[in-house]
Amino acid sequence: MRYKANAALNLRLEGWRASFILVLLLLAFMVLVGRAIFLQGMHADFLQHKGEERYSRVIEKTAYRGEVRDRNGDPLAISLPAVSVWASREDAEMNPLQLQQLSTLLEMPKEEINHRVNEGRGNFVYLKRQVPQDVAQKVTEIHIPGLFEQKGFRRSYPKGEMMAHLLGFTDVEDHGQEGAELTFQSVLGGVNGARRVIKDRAGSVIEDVENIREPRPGHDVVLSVDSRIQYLAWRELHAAITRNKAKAGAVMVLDPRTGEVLALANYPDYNPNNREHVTLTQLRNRAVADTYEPGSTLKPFTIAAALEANKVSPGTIIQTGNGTMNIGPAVIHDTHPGGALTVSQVIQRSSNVGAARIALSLPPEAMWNLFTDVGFGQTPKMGMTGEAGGRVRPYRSWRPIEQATMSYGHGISVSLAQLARSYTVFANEGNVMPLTLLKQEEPVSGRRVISVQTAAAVKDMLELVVKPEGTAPLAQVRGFRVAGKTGTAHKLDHGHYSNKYVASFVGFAPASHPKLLIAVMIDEPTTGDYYGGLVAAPVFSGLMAGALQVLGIQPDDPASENYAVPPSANSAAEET
Amino acid sequence: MRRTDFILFICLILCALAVVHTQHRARRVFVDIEREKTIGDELAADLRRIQAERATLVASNRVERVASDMKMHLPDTRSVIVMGNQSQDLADIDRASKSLALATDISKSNLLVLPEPHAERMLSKQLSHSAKRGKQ
Repeated sequence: MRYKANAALNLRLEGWRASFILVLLLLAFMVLVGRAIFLQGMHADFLQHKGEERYSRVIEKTAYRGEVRDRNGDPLAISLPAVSVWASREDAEMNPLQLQQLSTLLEMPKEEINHRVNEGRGNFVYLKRQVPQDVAQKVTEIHIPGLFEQKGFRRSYPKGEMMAHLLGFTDVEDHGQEGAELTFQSVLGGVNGARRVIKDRAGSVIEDVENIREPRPGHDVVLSVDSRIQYLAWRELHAAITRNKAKAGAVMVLDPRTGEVLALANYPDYNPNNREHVTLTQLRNRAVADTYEPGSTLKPFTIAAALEANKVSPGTIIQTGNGTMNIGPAVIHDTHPGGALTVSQVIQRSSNVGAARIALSLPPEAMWNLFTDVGFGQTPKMGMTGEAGGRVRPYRSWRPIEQATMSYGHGISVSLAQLARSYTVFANEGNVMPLTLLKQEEPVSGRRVISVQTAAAVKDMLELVVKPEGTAPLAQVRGFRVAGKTGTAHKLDHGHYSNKYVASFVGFAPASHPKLLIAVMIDEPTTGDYYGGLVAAPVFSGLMAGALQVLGIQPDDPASENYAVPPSANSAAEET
Repeated sequence: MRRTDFILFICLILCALAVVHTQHRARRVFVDIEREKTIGDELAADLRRIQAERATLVASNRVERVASDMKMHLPDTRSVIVMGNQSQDLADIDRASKSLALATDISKSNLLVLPEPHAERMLSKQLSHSAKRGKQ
């Protein structure tokens, strides 16, 4: 058989078929090139991003919030690592035993956990934030699927209640909400950093890609507070509140030479480490936010204004008669009739009539100027939230009766912080100091308000107050000369003076060279005693004695056995 | 020519291997650094925790509670003498040295570690004793 005999081999393909295939292949190739250009050229960024997502991660670098320290470097507020426990609603599954364990660890009722995990929208839900690390570790050990942990911080306040109002606190996001935490938020707050890294299959970082942002930790803040004095202030205040069954109270300690706040305590208070059941009453920083009628603690300013105007000298005799004085239809009373008193005795015995007589010899403007100069009617700007400015009405609208009542601290309102600050005038040779919460390294210069002589004269009068004939022998401190003034004011209740009182005492020691100034305010004592000399003066004395000892201050009157305190302390009742 | 090519080829291979090796080492070192950094962070966190704990333990209210449990109390202001450079007064120094002598007497009798009731009794004994000596 001949090879050519196969007819199929004789078939000739038509030329266009080959060309057709060739064109088809070329077209397909063109499509591929087009697609490649499309992906590489136009969609490259998107794809590269998608690719990186498979292995690169942005990790947040958390920055610590700055610490708050006291003037001796003792930590008052410190950030500790804590963990937020969160659940993925889609993946979370736990058996009753695990639920029980989780509920005990997180101190949350089982119902609440169930509610959080099963109800609500979205996949992400926090179970509990700011869980201490050791607890979080145990939570991990239960191995509940769908439960995750996120690192963060928890603010810890080692001194607890006693520093509560001064320090304030932060919210779960680590932002200051009250007190120093809020005031110094911009200094304390850290800024988290971020970096891009490559992670391997096991999730551990194997390479740094870029540093997006360096973390910037917050700066530390050194407060002017001395935590030892703060404790004494807190302790004495609590003791006085209990002793007098009072509604509230506040104490403030200053360094009169610099205006630094060494202690600030309020009652009622709260534990900043556990704020679950804290009420607004407890949060209230009474020493700076509440104003009250100061009562007799204002008399020294009336006397100072009169001394400055050369209307009286410390020895000038003032007739207080039978202890009453009529101004128009109104009558001013003294607790005990004093007869003829020197100006010094007006302060020592706290005579309203005497103060009113001296005030009425002055132009209202002179009194108003001094009140305003020492800071009444203006916020003290010490940097606390909610500082009150109090109220001093313009002198043009004063009627004589108002001028008279204002001379002994009624018809005017001040905060304890303002009152404490104003007394720096007498402790600091006539200079009023600005208040500050920060430790001062340099000497602070004050503003002269009255002359050195006037300040010294009033200081001498204030020293008489704690003598046995004065209103506050209970304010004495063994071994030290003390100067101060009591105050007892009726409280206004719906526009009328009620039988509720505010007892106060402001004073400083050692009188020869004042190093500490203390202001005490006790609101509504209810055990019968309500005079500043009986209720507030003992707080001053106890606190001052302790604080002087803590600071190691040389007694300026070491030889004196203490003055005899009258057993009934009757003279302490001679005041308003 | 062929010879040079071959040598270059070998060099290329060696370089490639070196790159792989270095890359591998770099990663291992990096992992080590990361681990050390984590340990550093943990230690820093520990330090803070310990500082906070210390601050809680030395808080004055706790110290006072513990001290009163141990029947200790602060000395009375009258029995404290501050010896600063301000005390130029001769009488002051004299008084200070006298009570220092008293204090050394007291320390001999172990008074400073005695609980309060004992301390008071001992102190009053000591005082009456030194008063008698003064009279003689």
